[in-house]
Amino acid sequence: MSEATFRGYERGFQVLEFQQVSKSYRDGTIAVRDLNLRVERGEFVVLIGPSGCGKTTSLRMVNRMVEPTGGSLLLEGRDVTSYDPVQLRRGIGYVVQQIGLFPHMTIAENIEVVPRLQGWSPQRRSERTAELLQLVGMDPGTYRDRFPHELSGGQQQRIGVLRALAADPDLILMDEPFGALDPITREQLQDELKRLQETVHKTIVFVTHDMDEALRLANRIAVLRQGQLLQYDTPAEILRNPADDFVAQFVGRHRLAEMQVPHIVRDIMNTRPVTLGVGASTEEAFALMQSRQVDTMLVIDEQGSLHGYVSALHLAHKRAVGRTLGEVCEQDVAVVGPDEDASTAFNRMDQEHLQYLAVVDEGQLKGIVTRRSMVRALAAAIWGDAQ
Amino acid sequence: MSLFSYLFQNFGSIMQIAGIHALLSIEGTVLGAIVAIPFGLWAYRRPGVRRFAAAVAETIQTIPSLALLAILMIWLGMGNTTLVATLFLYALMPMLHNTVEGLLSVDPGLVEIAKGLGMSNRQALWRVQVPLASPIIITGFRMALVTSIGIATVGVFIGAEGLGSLIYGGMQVQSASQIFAGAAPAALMAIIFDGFLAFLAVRAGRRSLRLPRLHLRNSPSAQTPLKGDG
Amino acid sequence: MTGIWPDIVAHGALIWQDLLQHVEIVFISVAIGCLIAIPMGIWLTRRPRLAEVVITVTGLIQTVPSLALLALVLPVLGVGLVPAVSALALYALLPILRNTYVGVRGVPAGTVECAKAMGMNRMQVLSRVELPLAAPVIVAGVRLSTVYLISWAVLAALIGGGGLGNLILEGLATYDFGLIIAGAVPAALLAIAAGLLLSWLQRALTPVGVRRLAAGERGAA
Ligand SMILES: Nc1ncnc2c1ncn2[C@@H]1O[C@H](COP(=O)(O)OP(=O)(O)OP(=O)(O)O)[C@@H](O)[C@H]1O
Ligand SMILES: [Mg+2]
Repeated sequence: MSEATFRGYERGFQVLEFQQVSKSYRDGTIAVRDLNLRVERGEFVVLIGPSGCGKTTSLRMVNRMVEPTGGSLLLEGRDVTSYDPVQLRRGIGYVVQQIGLFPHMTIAENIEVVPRLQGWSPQRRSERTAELLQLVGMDPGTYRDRFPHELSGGQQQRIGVLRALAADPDLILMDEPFGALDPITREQLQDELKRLQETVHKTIVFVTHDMDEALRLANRIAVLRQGQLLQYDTPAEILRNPADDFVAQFVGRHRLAEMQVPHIVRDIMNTRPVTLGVGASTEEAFALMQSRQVDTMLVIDEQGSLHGYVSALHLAHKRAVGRTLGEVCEQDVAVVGPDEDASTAFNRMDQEHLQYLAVVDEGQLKGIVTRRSMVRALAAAIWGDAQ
Repeated sequence: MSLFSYLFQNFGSIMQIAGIHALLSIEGTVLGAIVAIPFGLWAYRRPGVRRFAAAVAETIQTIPSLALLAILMIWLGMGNTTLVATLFLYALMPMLHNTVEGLLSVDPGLVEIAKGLGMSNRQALWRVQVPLASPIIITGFRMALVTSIGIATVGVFIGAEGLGSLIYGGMQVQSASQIFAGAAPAALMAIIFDGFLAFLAVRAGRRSLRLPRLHLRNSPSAQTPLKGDG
Repeated sequence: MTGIWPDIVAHGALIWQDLLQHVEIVFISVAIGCLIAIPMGIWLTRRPRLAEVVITVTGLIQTVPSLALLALVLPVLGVGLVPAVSALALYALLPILRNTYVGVRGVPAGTVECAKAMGMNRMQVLSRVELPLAAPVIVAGVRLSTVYLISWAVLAALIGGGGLGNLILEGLATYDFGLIIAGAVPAALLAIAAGLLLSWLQRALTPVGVRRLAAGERGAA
């Protein structure tokens, strides 16, 4: 049989299917046992499970970095072993746990590895690089010629993701790509990835052992344990009906508890309101309002305590040019405590026609409750986390 | 004359010459150590001095041995003194380099802790840094000694004693046996000292708890995660 | 010190001729060494078991004193340029082989995996990832070989290799300081110059991105 070439990036990948796939290593370890899994086009599937349960092995069988010892993996209905591995891999994006950027290549060269292997012209390559860097808010002029070690860990990992996207593959494999990052950067990258997937419509198979990450990102979650698939379902369904005690435990009791209707303000607040410091200028405030598309913004001091608010309207009225926010802000902010009843907060907003409530605990700004965040929290409780 | 009968008949004198050869090599290397190690201890904190000294030592190291021997011979005359002086010069580079590298490789955090425990600078140097650096310093000595044993054979051309005299003599009379009688003990001596000092370095390393660093490469299975999920 | 210059001038033509010959011997030997050792070193990284044996053996050969090795070549290969170059090339092999092996092995396994997973074939992994990252270490090996060989080529005059060793040995034999200086000083300068040149090359070949991270020479034997 002549080897076919996988051209997912040209023809459009349809579906990936694991049929009774097994992998046992030479030393007798059975890493994956009779795995059946179907990933549809455009899905974001997360493989999750404890360390050593076979997540990485399953993932690497897709691009033939590991060969299965039983069953078959179908890509577009054809066994992956019928594709030439080198061509196959060029058509599948791959992001790994350790950052895996090539230290001797610039950021641009790293991103362009696969396009180069596919023989793109230099001009097309560099346009693509610029486009991708902009996609994650990194200025091409600044970053293109830097070397990986001149970037922060979070930036490096972003480049890792961009590199996988570069040749526009339809299928991307990610193995704990954010595992080594601090929690804040991780969340930020998760948000970016989710947004990215919504705009570029990739099919993503993502490995993690962090349930929060899985819930945040996945359309469907596959829970593995000792090489076996325990449950494959939407996040909401897994939360609602865990297949067995193990899954329930893995999901975590606190998350199952969260499934109940939120009853305190803390549950419904947005923890990252748009804020600026008292020392910021009114110009900065305008710019930020514009970019975040809001018309009011909270002002906090260095200690994070709430100082007041500014709105686009009254900034314009006050002829505030050249003054700091501390000088011009209004101080009559409607405030609520994080442990107050959510329904009380809801009623207040309704009766007093408030746009938002600032959540303050011992003087510190903890978050903000808007109509939007309230609706979201309720929706999530009723229909599950999937949005 | 066959090789074995040659070796057998001259065993005593070969051993004697080998002994002299070893002594001269060790003498040159130890003299080098006496200068290079204390200098390294002093210089490692001074990047300027350190780099200058390393450059000088490395340049000396680069000079072909016969050339350096011949040049020194003009000042110091024929004989063992010139050989030892040359060996001394060649020994400087590896030992200076390794002393400095060894000290620099010690985790600065440990030195901080030592000082935190109430050690003076001097005590921290001798009780923490030097012991931790000792495997690398010993390795420097080992490299210097093996080099010395090799270069000492060339000493024959400036009238020094040692196994070179057997080798060169053998070349002149075209006696393979005699060449071998000089070459083999020299090679053997180098290998034995090399092994012995490597062993010492490992022991010093074990004592200073640096052994884990010797595991340079982990096989994938060595990173097997805990299988505690069953 | 005032004695050096006249000696060198006096033997100018002779020095020039021997110097060129010296460079030629060393260059040919190192070139042969590279041609054999670099592919072999790469090949060995694919055969770790065999590599361990080979690296140990080459390590042992390196401890054999150079005069001893040259002398042992004499009964086997005879006298002349070819035996001299053969012996020197054999010697040049060792550091290059060792450093190629160490350098390529030193490329992190994850980096190589990653290159493969992105769809590079074996040759591409080698030429685009492994060799660029190992280049500084390999060149360090070449440098080491070259500097050693300039030294050993002096001794190679003993087995008819020619070069600057002729002047020194003749000077020592006749106790002619002028000849000694005329041979030894250019030999020393040649070695120093070659060392500097190759150090520069090593730095130039270190990929900019790893320059700060690289400790190229530490990979050297
Ligand atoms: N090359 C190998 N040889 C032998 N056993 C292996 C090999 N690679 C993985 N294994 C074993 O296969 C099992 C599954 O490994 P795998 O790497 O897929 O786990 P994982 O779910 O990705 O774990 P982690 O969350 O720790 O990354 C483990 O028991 C592991 O020890
Ligand atoms: Mg894994």
